[in-house]
Amino acid sequence: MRLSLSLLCCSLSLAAPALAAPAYEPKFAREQEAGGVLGPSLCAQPEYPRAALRYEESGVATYRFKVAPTGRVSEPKVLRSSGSRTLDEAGLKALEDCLMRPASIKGLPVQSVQHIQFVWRLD
Amino acid sequence: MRRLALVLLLAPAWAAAAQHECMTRLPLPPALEATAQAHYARAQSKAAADPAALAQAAADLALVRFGAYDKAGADALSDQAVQAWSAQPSAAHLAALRAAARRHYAYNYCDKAALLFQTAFQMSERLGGEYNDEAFALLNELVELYLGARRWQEFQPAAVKLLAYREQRGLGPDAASEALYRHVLRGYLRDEQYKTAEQAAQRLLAYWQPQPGKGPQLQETLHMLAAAYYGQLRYEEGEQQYRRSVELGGAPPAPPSRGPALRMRMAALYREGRVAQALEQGQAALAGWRQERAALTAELTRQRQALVPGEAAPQLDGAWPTGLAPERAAEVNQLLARRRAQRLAVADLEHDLAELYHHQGQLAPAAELYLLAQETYEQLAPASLAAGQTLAALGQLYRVQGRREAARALQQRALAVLQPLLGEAHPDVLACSVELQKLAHGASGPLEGVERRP
Repeated sequence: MRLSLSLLCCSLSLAAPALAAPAYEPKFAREQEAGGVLGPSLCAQPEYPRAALRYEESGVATYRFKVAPTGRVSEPKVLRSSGSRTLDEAGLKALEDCLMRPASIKGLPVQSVQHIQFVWRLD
Repeated sequence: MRRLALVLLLAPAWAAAAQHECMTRLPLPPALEATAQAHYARAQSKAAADPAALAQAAADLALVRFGAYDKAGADALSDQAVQAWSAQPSAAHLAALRAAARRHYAYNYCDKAALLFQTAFQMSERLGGEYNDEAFALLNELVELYLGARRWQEFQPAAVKLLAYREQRGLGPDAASEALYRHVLRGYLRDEQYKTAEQAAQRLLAYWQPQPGKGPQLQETLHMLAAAYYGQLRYEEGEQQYRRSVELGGAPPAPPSRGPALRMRMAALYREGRVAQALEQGQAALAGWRQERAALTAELTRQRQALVPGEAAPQLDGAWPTGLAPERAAEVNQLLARRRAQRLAVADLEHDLAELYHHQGQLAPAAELYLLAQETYEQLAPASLAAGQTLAALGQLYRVQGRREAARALQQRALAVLQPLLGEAHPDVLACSVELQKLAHGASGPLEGVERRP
C-alpha cells in the first residue's frame, strides 16, 4: 500500500507540467504615472527672504527630492544653487511643506525622485 | 494725565494689526521713553499698594524699549507685567491683559503679544468657563496673530482649539473663516494626521462645492483631500480626487507628440494581448523614422562638408566652425537639434520594440535592438532614465542567455544610472539589486522570456 502511494506520488510529480516562467514584462507598456506637485498653491515658492532682498540677491535654484509613496517629501537637496545661500535655504525649507502626488506603477504608489526650480527675481 | 497720553499714543487702529507680519519694528518718539520711565518709577515706589499699576507701567515701558531695539529689556518688563496680572485672576486684570496684548500686537511685538493673549485666554476660561464669549474672542485674535506671523507650530494647536469653539457654537466654514479651516487642514497634512485631514478636507469641500465660481478653491481642497488619501496609502481614492481636480481645471491636456503617441498605442495593444500588431506598428514607424534620421544626417553632412571641406569623415557631433552668419548658424543649430531629437526618438522606439521581442522570447532581435538604443543613449543621454532601463533590460536578457559577467556589468551600470533618478526604494532600482543578487549567488532565477509566445 505504502509502495503504491509513493509510486502514485512519483507519477504525479512526473506528470506535473514544468512551472511556467514569467515572461519579461515591457516597462514601456506598464501603466505608470510620474507624480509631481499636487497643485501650484501647495508647493508655492516661498516669500523672498528679507536678508536676500536687502542684498538684492536673485537667481534660479534647482532642487532634487524624494517623494515617498505617501506623497511625503524627504531629503531635499540643492542640485544647482541660485548663488545665494539665503535663497537656497528658503527654498529647501519651503519644499518640506510641499504636497505631492506620488508616482505609481500599475496603480500602486512608488517612491520617486522629483525636481523643482524656484526662480528668485527682483522686479 | 501722563498715563492717559501714553496709552492713547500706544493704541493705533486695531484693525491694522491683522495685516502685520511681526517683521517690522515700529519706532516710538524718543521723548516717550522718559515719560514711560518716570511713570514706571512712580509705580514702582507704590508697588505694594497698587501692583496692577506697576504691571501696566511695565507693559507700557516694555513697548517703548522694544521700539528702541532693547529686546532683552522689553522682554523682562513684559514678563513682569504678565506675572503680576496672572498672579491674581480678576476681570480687571483680564481686561488689562487683553488691552496690553492688542497694543503689543499692534506694535509687532508679537512673541510677547502671543504670551499676553494666551495668558488672557487662560484667565478668561478660568473666570468665565470654557467656551465663553470673551475666551472665544481672545482665541480668535491669538490664532490670527500666529497666522500672520506664520508661526505654524503654535498656530496648529491654537487653531484646532478655535475650531472646537466654533463647533460648540454651531459655526462651520464661512467666507470670513475659510482661511482658518484651510490652514488647519494644511497643518494636519504637515503633521501627518491624515485621517483628521481627510475629515477636515471633506468638511471644507462641502462648504465650497455648492458655491458657483469657486473653482480654484474647490480644486485646492480636492488636492488636499487627495494628499490626505495618499498619506494613508489609499492611492486610488487619492487619484479619484486628483482627477476631479484636473477636470475642474478645464484645459484639456495637450495631445501627445508623435513619439509618445506611438508608444501609447503600442502599450495599449500590448495590454490587450495584441503583441504582434504592436510589433508591426512599431516596426513600420521605425523604418520611417530611420529614413528621416538618415535624411537629416545627409543634410547635416552636406552642410558640414561645405563649412569644413578638408574633413575625411564629417564630424557631425564635433565642434562646428564659429563666426557663421547668424542665419546659417541658426539653420545648422536647428538641424542639429532636430537630428538629436530624431535619434533619441529612434532609440526609444528601438528600446520599446526590443522589450516586445524580449517579452516574446525572441532574444536575438531583442538584444540587437537594445544595443542600438544603448549606443544612441550612450552618446546623447547616458544618465537618462531610458538609458538606465535599456541597460537593465539588456542585463536581464544576458543573464537568461547565460552571459553572467556581461549581465552583471550592465546591471551595475543600470543601478548607477537609475538610483539617483528614481530613489533606492523604486521597484526598478530594487529589480536591479535583485538581478545583481541572483548573479552574485549563481542562481539562474526564472528564465524570463525563454518561451516563445504568440
